[in-house]
Amino acid sequence: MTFRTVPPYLCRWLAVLSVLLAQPLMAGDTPDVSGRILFSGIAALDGNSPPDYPRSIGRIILDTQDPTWGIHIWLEGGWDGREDFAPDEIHYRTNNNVYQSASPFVEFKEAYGRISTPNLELRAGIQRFAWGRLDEYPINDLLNPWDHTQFLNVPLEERKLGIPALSASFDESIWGVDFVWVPGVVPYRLPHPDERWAGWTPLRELATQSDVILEFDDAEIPSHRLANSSYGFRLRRAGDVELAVTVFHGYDPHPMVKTDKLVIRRKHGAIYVNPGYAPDFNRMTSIGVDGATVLGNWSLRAEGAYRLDKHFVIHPDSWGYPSWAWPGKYSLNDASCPSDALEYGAGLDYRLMEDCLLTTQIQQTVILDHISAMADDRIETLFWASITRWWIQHRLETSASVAINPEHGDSMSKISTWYSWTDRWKTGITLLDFQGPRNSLFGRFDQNDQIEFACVYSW
Amino acid sequence: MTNWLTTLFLRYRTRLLEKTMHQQRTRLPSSSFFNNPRWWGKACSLMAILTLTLCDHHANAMTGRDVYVQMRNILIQGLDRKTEASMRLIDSSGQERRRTLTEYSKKTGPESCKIMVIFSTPPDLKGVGFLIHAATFSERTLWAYFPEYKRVRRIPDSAQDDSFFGSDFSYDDFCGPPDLDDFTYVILGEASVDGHPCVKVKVTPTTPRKYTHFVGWVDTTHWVHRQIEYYQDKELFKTAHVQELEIIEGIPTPRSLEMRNHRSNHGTELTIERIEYRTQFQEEMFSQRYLERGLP
Repeated sequence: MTFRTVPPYLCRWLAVLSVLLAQPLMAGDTPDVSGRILFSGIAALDGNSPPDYPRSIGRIILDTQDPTWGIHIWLEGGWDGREDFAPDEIHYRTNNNVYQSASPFVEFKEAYGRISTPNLELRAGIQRFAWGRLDEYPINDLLNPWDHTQFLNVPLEERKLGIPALSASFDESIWGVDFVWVPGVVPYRLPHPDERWAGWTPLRELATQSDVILEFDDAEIPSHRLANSSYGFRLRRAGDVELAVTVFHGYDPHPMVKTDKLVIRRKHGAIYVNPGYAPDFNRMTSIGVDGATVLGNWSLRAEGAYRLDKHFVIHPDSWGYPSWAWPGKYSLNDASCPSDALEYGAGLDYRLMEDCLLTTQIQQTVILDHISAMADDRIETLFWASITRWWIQHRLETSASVAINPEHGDSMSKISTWYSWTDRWKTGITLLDFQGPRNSLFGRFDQNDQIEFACVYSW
Repeated sequence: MTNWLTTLFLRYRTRLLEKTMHQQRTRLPSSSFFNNPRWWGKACSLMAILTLTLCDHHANAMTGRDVYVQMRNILIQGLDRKTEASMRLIDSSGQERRRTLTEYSKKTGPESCKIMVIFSTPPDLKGVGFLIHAATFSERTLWAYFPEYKRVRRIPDSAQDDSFFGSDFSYDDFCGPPDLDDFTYVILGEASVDGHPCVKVKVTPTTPRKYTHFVGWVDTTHWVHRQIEYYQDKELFKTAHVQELEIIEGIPTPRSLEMRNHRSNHGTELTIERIEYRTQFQEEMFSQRYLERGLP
């Protein structure tokens, strides 16, 4: 773990923010400005795992106060610790690449204008949405692709990438409708295959050999044209039992791969291997329902969706890699195939005692076609449980959570403690542990057990 | 009742004078009680004393429930409002934390209301809010919104006595007027708090709560609490004390109050920075969408 010098990019970043902040101030409106800076670093518990350098990430959020119109900006930037420090250039993250490890970076998580009446709200710009009811992997929350570069180490809403969209919400009495149009494609974001949170693959083993250099193709992002738009529609009903119906048609926000050809070549005494797979994007349709209610001390929530033409990865054995390979080009089979699928899940929250909350959740994916070819089982289950307890008038927060994928026998456990020194400063420590076979969701990170130390200043 | 007694007194006094004059004119014997003007005078004087006593302390004639009916009427009067408040949380070592919040409320029927509370500071709580739809004062639906999750969640009513975001107040303190049928009331007597005459009432919940009962000191001039002591059996664990009361737009408003937890030796001072009554907010404002947006 190496601590670097104070980043000079911070000055430039603040200059950009100053310009942004000056706009509403000059307009005579009083914006509401808040922000935070996170400093964090990890101690890896397995010396063989790829490193993660200390991070310093700042955010600034600006809101204008007028009830009938407004501007909302959420700007984030800093050094995310995934690549060597390159202070001479600030990388502005766009929607044109899947791999964006350059650091320092700056990006808009949200930047939109809104017009509001008591019943109607229209928004245009970069937005994030939160549909569905489940935590961590909400089934009907399909509009925003995720940033997978820190796996599940950051909260769900921070993993979501902002998407340029037009949205409308209309509410009348207990009914409400939301419509979202995303004119273009926003790719999910993945860690570079040799980074810490890419997870284990056979190729990583190969890359550890001194004379082998891996080459990867970036994704071909579908062009930003209207035919590639995504749409979301949601009908809501409030009441004792809250219900909603969601329809989504567009690009599946979950990562997928496609294969082309394996290329092995010798150059200057080294072996260059291009495994021939790249991130892929497929359109699908999803029709879902979700609901929530309260029964006594229990808070219940559930959701389900039927997916049409969702792509799933087939067994890597069937991708067509030769068992012995010499320098040359080898054609590969398709790495994924479409299938209809059913996804459903339910969550239960229970207040165990004052300032102590138990949250549980179970969700399943049922693949309906080509099951024997798929890398996943016909039914994949994820069970989540978490206990959070606040102490000393909410000054201290402790939580313990576990996620289990019983079909593959893998799990992720997390224990964390945060202490608020003042209203602005807090520090935390998080222990993360992964168990399971290396071809499973959590097991592929079994070398990534770690302790993370973090300090947050907010205003 | 006071008026009735005064009228009765005056009527008897008139009758007495008429009778005395008649006796003087006719010279009738005055041996019996009813015919003896001296006895009539004593009776009337007694009644006058009684009347004056009742005038001064007519709260004594009220039941504990009547006291709380009066109080609730005042609370209902002030339901259409916008309140900007700050909370100062002080722990046993004297360290302070602050919270600021805005409360919007609307009376939607004789016994129903809608309330929305949104935090502005500290940064960790900024945008956190909760929404209450009280179909009646005992049937409440609660939602909470945490920007961290960007989702509105229904929360069970069972958390009503839990600490309100680390303060010594409870969620129930922000949930609107109580349903009077949820409690029983016993008047304990008269007392004064900071020189203000109060009636002291023991209030016991009919269903299990975090406290077994509380004793309320109700100001008999303005019909608001001046002080509350919360007990768990015989142990006093929390005290609320109104430090400043102001009449704003004709409505008695506690501008500053302190809640102290005697077990943790932790206290919270709540100060109303700004309050506006008769706001007439549109009912649509008390929706999940507005709760998410955190702005009026």
